This record gives sequence, structure tokens and C-alpha cells, in this order.
Amino acid sequence: MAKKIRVLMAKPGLDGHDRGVKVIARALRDAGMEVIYTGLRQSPEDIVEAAIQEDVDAIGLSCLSGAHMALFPEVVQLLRKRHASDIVVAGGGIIPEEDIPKLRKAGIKAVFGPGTPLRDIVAFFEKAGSAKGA
Amino acid sequence: MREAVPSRPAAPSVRGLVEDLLAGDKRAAAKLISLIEDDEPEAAEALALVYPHTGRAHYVGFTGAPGVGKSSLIDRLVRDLRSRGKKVGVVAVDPTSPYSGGAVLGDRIRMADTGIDPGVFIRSMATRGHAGGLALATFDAVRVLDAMGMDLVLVETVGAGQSEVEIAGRAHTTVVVEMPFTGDAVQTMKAGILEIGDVYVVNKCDLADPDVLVANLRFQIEERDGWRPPIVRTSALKGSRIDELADAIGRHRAFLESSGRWEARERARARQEILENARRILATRVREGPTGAGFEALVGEVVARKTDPQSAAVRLLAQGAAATKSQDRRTRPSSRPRARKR
Amino acid sequence: MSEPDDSRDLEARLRKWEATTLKEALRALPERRGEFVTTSSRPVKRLYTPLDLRNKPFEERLGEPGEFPYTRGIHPTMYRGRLWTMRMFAGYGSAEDTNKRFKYLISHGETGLSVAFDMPTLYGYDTDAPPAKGEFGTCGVAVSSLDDMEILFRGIDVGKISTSMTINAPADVIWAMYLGMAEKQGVPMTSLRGTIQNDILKEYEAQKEWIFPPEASMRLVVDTFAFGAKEVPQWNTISISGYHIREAGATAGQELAFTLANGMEYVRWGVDRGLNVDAFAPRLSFFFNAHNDLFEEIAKYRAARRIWAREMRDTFGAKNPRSWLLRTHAQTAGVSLTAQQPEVNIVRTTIQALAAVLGGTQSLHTNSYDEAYQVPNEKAVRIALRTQQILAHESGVANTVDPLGGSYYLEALTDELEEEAYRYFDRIQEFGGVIAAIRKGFIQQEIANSAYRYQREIEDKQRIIVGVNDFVVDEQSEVEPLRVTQASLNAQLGRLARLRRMRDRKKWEASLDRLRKACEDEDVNTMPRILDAVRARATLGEICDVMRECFGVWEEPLLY
Repeated sequence: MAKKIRVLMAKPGLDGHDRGVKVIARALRDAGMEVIYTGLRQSPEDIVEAAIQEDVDAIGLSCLSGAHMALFPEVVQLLRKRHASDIVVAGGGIIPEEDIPKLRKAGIKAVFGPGTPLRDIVAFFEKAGSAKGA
Repeated sequence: MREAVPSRPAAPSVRGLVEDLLAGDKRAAAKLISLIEDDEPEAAEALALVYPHTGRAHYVGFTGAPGVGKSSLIDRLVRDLRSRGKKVGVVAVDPTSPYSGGAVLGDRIRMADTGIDPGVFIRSMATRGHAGGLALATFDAVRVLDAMGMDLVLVETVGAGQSEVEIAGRAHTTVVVEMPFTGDAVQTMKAGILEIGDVYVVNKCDLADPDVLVANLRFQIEERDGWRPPIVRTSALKGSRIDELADAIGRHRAFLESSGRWEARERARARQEILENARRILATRVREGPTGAGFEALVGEVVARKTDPQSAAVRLLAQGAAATKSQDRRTRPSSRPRARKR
Repeated sequence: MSEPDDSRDLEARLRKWEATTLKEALRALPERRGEFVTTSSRPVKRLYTPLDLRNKPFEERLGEPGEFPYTRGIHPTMYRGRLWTMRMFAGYGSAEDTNKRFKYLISHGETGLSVAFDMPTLYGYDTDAPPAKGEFGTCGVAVSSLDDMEILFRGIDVGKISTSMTINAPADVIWAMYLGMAEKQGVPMTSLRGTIQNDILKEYEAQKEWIFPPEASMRLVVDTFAFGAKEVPQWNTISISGYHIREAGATAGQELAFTLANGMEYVRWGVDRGLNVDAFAPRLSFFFNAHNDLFEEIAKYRAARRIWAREMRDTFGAKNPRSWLLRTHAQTAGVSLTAQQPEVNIVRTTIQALAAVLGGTQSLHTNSYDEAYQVPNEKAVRIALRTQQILAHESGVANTVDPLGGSYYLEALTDELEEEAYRYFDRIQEFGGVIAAIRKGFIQQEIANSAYRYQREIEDKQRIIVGVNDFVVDEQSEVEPLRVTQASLNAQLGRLARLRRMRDRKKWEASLDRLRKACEDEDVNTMPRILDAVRARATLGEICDVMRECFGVWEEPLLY
């Protein structure tokens, strides 16, 4: 049996639009991964603490409210503080084009905008999981 | 994917991880649990190093049908125990999809607030094909948290199937969670549920009148080995009477200790686990070990009626005793029916 | 519709047509797909004929415009009398920022205001509350106090314009702030017109912006019904919304069914409180989505009116025909907008807006083409508004009532959607009602299943989304993002701090105490107490904290 890829899916901030995060959670499950879903309204501290206790390979952040610039980079910073920057962070949601380079620079490994095919997202987490397990 | 930030060595030694664990490091605990859960080569070493430091924590299992509010109840209980200065570990088990092998683990949703408390550690676990409402590695994870210094480790089972039987054999205290009648549905108690609970909880008392169910339980539950299981009425939503539940769990531990039952349960579990491990090791030696060729030869002899299965097994075990130690690396202090394919 | 003899003739003719003309055509050119389906995966037949409509009498199904069951529209003349209200949803940053946007829209011909609030406001938090971090003004305007509300409507005569406010969990508090603001403008409550969304059930089901558990929330909603009926008679105290249910992934049929089931649940709670159904039902309004599938969408609006009229008259015994009317706002489907080739969204929005108009909506918001990745900029908003103006003044669709009525396909779809809705009503009833179905996660699960299926269909290219999974180009879109400035945030934080310093502390404290008592006593209407607290300069967060203490906070059942 191969090592199971574990992914934390989280919605930071107050945004309650969870259609996307749930669709992706299901797609990752259907690809054989273990998805820890933390539910709505999580602070970056909550997310990082959960990621560490769950020893996940990667974190997927979903935010449609426009608060991504405040919340996504903070997750990366907190992971560094906790010596856990081997955990890969990706994000998605309603994200203007010009924010994407800034998020990448802040350590978000991938940014998935609207219309991203599920298979791209699945492939990203598969790669993240196997790179880390290797 | 790793970056040049103040990060630790990528693969610390098992010994290092266990040292960090004993110092209370959550990341080490998490890594050790993964190692064991993924059945990495270092798993046996990890467990052997961890085991001497276990035996202090109180293992409490929670069982009950899906939807009775186990996660919320545990969340409330953890908060109550924290207010009493106890450190608490939680292992929450959800089912793995039989189709994809994947799982969505959502028990943390209910425990979001308690998860960041330094004295709390929560781990979600998928059954990964193991029947019985627990994962194979569930009690290995429990031991890791025990060694970490948790005063109690709470285990939330899947709640469907036969989870209650397995949990009852492993936990010190088994809590059975029910909820009162809602709507017109006729409530039937799951077979066997009345025999295994050390504490019964009627949760969601804010939603419906619990009197009928409580009376029903009181009538049917009998004293076992000098312990009469209490029935606690809670509302996890409102947080009511959670302290009574914590008290009842504490009283059960005190009872186990004063009556000698704690010791007896430890011995029973040790006995069961040694035997299960022995069975697994033997089976592995027979199937995979250096005697494998001999095994197939024996199979041929049995089929050809040159010998009988009983005599073949005796000969096989005699050969098996000579097997090298390396193939037994997955010897675990825990009980694990090793049906797992690799 | 047809005499039996006619339909026998028709059946024979169709059989002949299938055996000859059609057969040949299919041989020469097979159809593009084995099965054709709507956006909601509803199978569509090759041809619809009078045979699809023969089982029910025409009058019962359609009636005349402005008459029961209002399938063809709630007004006898529809848009010949008055066009729909062009109401653009707007809000970002501080009250000052949004006030400017409102004035811009009014100057370009908008006829009603519609306020979008930011996330902290939607959850009953002040801008300076810790959970509000990073969320200020990003997807709506921040309103934490009466002072903010006053600035939001500065220079706008609220006695003349109607205002719709998209606010749910803390709808009562925001409404109280609006009433307090109008009071200061000198406009009497009796002449105020507008809508608060106030539809908490769809929050549990779809949008997830809740605060309190369902029962407490429903009590607060009924408090607003009772208060509105007496004090603010021209105000729509609820906008029962399918929009968000659809956006969360529901099909057209599910949107219709869950929305109307929610509507009936509100009526039930109002009646159970002892309100006369005709006292509050005329103030119930609706809000539906307008998605891509033109005919299915039009059918949805028509079926909604028919079901609502029947249920209100026959099930709830409403006597006043105004109680039977389903008046609705519509918004084009935000979820259908693509980040790829965003300008193409203008075309999608046009078709969706057309559906809403042909479906007989009373007011309409058209989305801006850049909304798949940001709060719309001014130019994008103007184009969206122009889209409506073209439909109204150039397309000719507003010249006659229910122009597609009688279309075999449309009437058959209307019937089908109606039947689907009743099947869902039955299932919800089996759970013990809407709230029980929410607690069991039934409605949420149905929606999530549809969302997943839709996404899978796109993945598998069973469904083509132009620019996303076909007709793709590699281009950088040139759009100008709208940014909330630090200056706006600082101004808002400064105003809040000043308010907390300057207000009469004694009066403020007393008002919150009185509110707490009202929350604890079900026989007291909370609305007047909230209004008093607002007047005493209590903030949104402070008022909601009192209610959070009294009612607790909802936790949703786990689903995915």
C-alpha cells in the first residue's frame, strides 16, 4: 500500500461559500486521498495547528471574499514559525490576476482561479504528496 | 518543495522524534502517528520506543450511531477536562471510501476551538479498509498520545457497524452515546449496546424529551462486575451537564483502579495483543519468509495427500523458528490483525 | 387544450412524420448527441407538441395575466405599464466609498438601490473585531453603526428611492439602522420602501452565513414580520431567495423547490405566532437566479408563481389576492461567469437577463463581466446596467405580456418543474419539515451532489463552457481591479473608536439590557428594542453579541 496523501482543506476568514471547497474535497477523496476538512470560518492559527496535528502533506485554502491577501500568506508564515514549511500550501477562489504573483512570492505554491479543471488540482496535490513522502 | 527556512532536518531519526514526543512536541507526535499509520519501516522501532512511556493515560472510547453528536460532545468534554487541568488527546475515526480508498475526515469541524489549545491534540484517522469502526493504527496513535503525556485519550469511532465491540475490548472506559426520540421514528437499541457501555449518554436533550429513553435504558442496563453504568443527559449544543459526564468517566477510572479491574484489563489486553502479534508474525513467516518455498512444497504434499494439514503445520512451525529476526520488523506492542496488503 | 379527436389526429400525423421525414433526416445527419439536457441535467425531447400539454386544463395552468394562478405574470399589463426595476447590487469599502458608487449608478439611470455588505457585517461583527481581519469592505460595504448607515445614504432621499439590503443573520439590526437613518433624514417609516433579504433558511442550506441556531433565527424573522406589518407597511420584510441555493450548485428544480418550501416555512411560523396570514404575506418577496438555460429559467419563474398562488390560497387560506402574488427580484448567475475571456460574460449575462425578463421578474440585477475575480469596476457595472436598458428599450421583449406563453416546450417545462417541486415538498415533509431537513443535512447534501455532478460534467466535457473547457485562448485579461484602500479602513476604524468614546454610556448600556430581556422572553418583539439600541449608538457587533449570548451559535451538520 502506498503512503496515503493527506490534504487539509480549509476556508480561512468569514466567507461561507463552500461549493468549491466541497467539490474539491470530493475530487481528492475520489482520487484516493485523505482530506481533512476543517469547516468554515477558520483563522490562520487554527489551520496551521490542524495541519501540524494531522501531519498533512499539503493545505488547500479557499476564499471567495477577497480576504486572500491578508489570510493566505499568514498561513505560510505560521507554518515557517512552526518548522513546518515542508507542508505545501495552495489557494483558490475569487483572486484577481495581479494578486497571483504576490501570493506565489509569499509562498503559496499554486493559485487556482475559477474554471481550473479538477484534474489539475488533483494532480497538484498528488505531486505535493509524493514529493514530500519521497 | 522544501524551502531554505529554519526548518528541521527533513527526516529526523525515530529516536529523535520519540525524544521530542516525550518533551511534548506536537509535530513529533503527528509524524510518529503517520509513520505508524503508513506502516513505514521505522514503525516497529517507533512503537517499541514509545511503549515504555505508556500506561498512564485513561483511554475512553465513544460509540453511537452517526448523527448522535459524538464530535460535539467530545469537543465539549475536552473543554471541561481542560478546565480541570487535564491534558487530552483525541483520535477521531471516519470511514474510508471502499471505491477510491480516499476519505473526507470532518470530525475536526466540531473541535475547531479546542484544537489550538496547547494541552490538546486531535488526530483524524481513516479506517483504510479496516472493519470495526476503528483504523488498524488507532490504538497505536492512542499510545503515542499516552507517551506524550496526555491524561486522557478519547477515541471517537465511526459509529456504524460493529465498532462498539472492538472499542470495548480496548478502551478502559466505553461511553455509549444515544439521542432521544425525535419525530415518529421508533427507536431501537442496537444489539449488544447494553452490555458494553461503562457510561451511557443521552445527548441532544435540547431537541426532544429524553425521559422515555432514559427510563428504557435504566430498566435494561444491569450492574456488571460491581459497576452500575450511569446515564448522563447532555446537550452538546448548549454544553449542559458535560461536567457530569466528565465526573462519571473519572469515577469509572477510580472504580477500575480500586477494584483491581484496571490491572485486570491491562493484563487481558496484553494477553490478547501478544497472541494477536504472534499469530500475525507466524502467518507472515509462513507466507513470505525464507520458508516460503518450503511452504509451497508442503502445500503440494497436502494436495497430493502425502501428508495432512495438521502435520504440515507442525513441520512448518519447526522450520519457522529458524527465521531471521529482520522479517519480524513489524512486531508491534499493539494488537493488529495484519490483513493489510502492501 | 385540444379536443380528443384533434389529439388522435395529431398523434397519427406525428407517427407518420417520425416514420418518414424524421427517419430520413436522421439517416442523412444523426443528431449531435445521444441525449440533450438542460443546464440542470433535465432531459429535453426533440420536439414538443400539444400532446405534451393535454392532461390539464389551460385555464387552471395559465389563467390570465394578473389573475390566479399568475403563471403569465402578476400584472395584467406587465412591462407595458411599468418596466422592471433596474437594481444593481453594489457595495465595497467604507460607507463613503459605496455612497459614491450609489450616486454614480443613480446618475446612469438605475431605479432602485441594492446594498452589498462586507463579510464581517454579514456575520454581525464590527470592523474592529478580530474575526474581521482582512475582510473589511472586500465584497461589500462595512456598516457597524448608525453613523455608517447615515454616511451610506448621505445625499440620497430615502423617501423617494427603494432600497434592497442583502443582509440575513443580522437583518433586524441593519434594518433598524436604516430606519434610524431615515428617522434622522426626517422620512416617516410609513413611507419607506425597500427590502431586507432576511432569509436565514437558505443560509443554513446554501450560503452558510448564519449566526444563531434555526429556531432562534426564525423567531427573529417573525419579529420583523410583525413589526413591519404594523410600522413599516410598504417594506418587504423578507426576500425568500433561491439565488444562493442555485449558486451553491442546486439545479433549477431544486432552487424552485427549496425556495418555495422555505417560503411556506416562514408563512407557517408567522401563522403560528398568531399573525393573520393576510397581514404579512403581501410583504413576502422572492429572489431567484437567472441561469444559462433560457427556457428552463423562464419556466422556473412561471412555475414558482403558480405554486405559490395555489399554496397561499388553498393551503394557508389567504383571502387577499395580494397574498397570492409571488413578486420576485432576479439576478443573473454569478457562478456562470468565467475568469477566462471575461468579456464574453457580457453575452452570458444578456441571455440570463432575457430569461428573467421573459419569466416576468419585478426587478433585476445584471452581473458585471469582471465578477469572477473581483468586485466590479465602474465600467463593468455600467455595461451590465446598459444590458438591461437594451432589453427594455431595444429588444422589443417588453412590448407584450408573457411572450412565450403557449410554447409547447415552455409550458411542458413549467409543468415538469412544478411536479419536481412537489416531489421535494413531500420528501421534506417526510423529514418533518424544512428545519428538520436542514438538521439532517438533506437539503445541503442534495445541493452538494448537484454541484459535484455539474463539475464532473464539465471535467468530462459532457458540458461545454465556452472559454473554459473548449474554445480556449491563452490571453491575459485586461481588467482593472477595484481596491479597498487602507485609508477607507482607517477612516472606518477611527469612526468606530470615536463612536465608542462619545456615546452616552448609560443609555447605551440600558438599551442592551432591555434587548437582552427581550431575547429571553419570546412574547416580546425584539425589533423595537434593537431600534432603541441602534439609536443609543450600540454597534452591530455589540447587539449581535447580546443575541449570541442568549441564543447560542449554530453549528452545521457535516457534509461534503
